[in-house]
Amino acid sequence: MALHHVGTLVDDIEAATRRMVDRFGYAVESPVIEDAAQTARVRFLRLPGADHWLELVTPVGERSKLRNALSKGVTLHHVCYEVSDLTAALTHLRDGGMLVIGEPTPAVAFGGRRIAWLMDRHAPLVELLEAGAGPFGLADLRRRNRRGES
Amino acid sequence: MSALFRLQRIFREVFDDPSLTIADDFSVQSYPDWDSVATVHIVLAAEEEFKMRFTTDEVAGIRSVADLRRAVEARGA
Repeated sequence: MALHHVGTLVDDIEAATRRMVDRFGYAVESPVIEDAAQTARVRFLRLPGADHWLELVTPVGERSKLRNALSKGVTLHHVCYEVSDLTAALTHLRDGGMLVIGEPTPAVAFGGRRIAWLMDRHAPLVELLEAGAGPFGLADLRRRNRRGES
Repeated sequence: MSALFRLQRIFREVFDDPSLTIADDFSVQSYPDWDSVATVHIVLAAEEEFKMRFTTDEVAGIRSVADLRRAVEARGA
């Protein structure tokens, strides 16, 4: 299990992108990706050389399940871990007292690799992403970092 | 001790209201503080109280005390 990204809720993804780039030096690593299943648009940013991403998340539509959280002032929304065995990781965390609130489902942002959602009494949400080929894989990112690519 | 009484203790703790009284029609619609985060707290507390586990589908379907009570009582609590 390795940290893959931290997801932050924003109301304006373009403005938030500019803010993170200008203030902290993040690089934009993806276009804005619409994920209808998650009722969200997302974009991935990364600090040069970092081994994980920052995900900007904004709700799509008035019925988005993220809209309520945003209206309550939630900004740090979730922490995502990449795991080699999604089923085993879910079982492990469920046995440890977490609740699975979203069963494994393919995610458009990750080329169809599956994600799942868990929660316990302690914020924020936890997202699990199965490792494998496709965009935003940690193995590929580590190779890029070793080669000194930005 | 009835399931409803035990659930009421849970709801009082989750919503930090020692005088809260619940009935089957107590729901996410009737009680605005009952959001998805509260549902997680309620379900985890109920799992501990009744020594049981809910499925993901069951959790998604819990919108009222009646839903929760039925799920608990279906397991013999």
